[in-house]
Amino acid sequence: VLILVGVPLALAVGLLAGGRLDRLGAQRVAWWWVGLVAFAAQLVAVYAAGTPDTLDMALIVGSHVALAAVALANRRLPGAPVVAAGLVLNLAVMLANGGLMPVAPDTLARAGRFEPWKVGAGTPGSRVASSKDVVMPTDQTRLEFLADRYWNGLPGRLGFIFSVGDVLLTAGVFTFVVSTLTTAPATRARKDTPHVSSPRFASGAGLVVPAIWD
Amino acid sequence: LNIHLHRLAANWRVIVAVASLVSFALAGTAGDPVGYG
Repeated sequence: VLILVGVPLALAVGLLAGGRLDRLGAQRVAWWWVGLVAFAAQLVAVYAAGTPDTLDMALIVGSHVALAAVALANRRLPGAPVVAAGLVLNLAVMLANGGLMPVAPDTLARAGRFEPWKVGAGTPGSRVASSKDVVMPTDQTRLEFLADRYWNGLPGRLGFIFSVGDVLLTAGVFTFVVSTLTTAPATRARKDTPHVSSPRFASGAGLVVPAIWD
Repeated sequence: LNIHLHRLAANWRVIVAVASLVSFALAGTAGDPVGYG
């Protein structure tokens, strides 16, 4: 998964650039808990057996809408507008194709996904196993250029399929992490949240006290 | 003790922040939330 490479890489770059990890905990992010809830909802939709397709669809689409709303609510944070753009692009192609992310049989084949446990039935209209994707031929996919149509070319578990939206979201998260780690809280407070006075970020002992993730 | 409590709180908040961030990003990228897509 693209993001599982992007986040550790961003943390490494931020720290190598002289950043501090505690600044990530001190960053104010509105509705920060929505990501955890959305992820939990998607685990149910993707992995829980026996749930109706309508519920799965509602959880997947609803969680993406919530994530986009969070990104927009935090649009003043570095990288957040790019994250929002990525989420909106993914959401657009999913909604245009019935609520799931389309992936073409050709793309699955190119990435070496043949086994039933990886692709499910693999026939047009069927859901990809353990995934938010639905198999859909290219010529039947609306907004096909936004679908899961790219493959990184690596073999086995290193290989993954992704969309333009995934790239934007990962780039935005990368920017957010590196910028947060390398920007002093007082600077952020003045720039991003002018209503918060800088003394709230500093204790009497001179330590940076984590601000509120609200 | 005060300093240690502050450090503990800071570490805990970093862990929560990273977990939230990764969850957000995994949920936002289409495909398999924890697998190949």
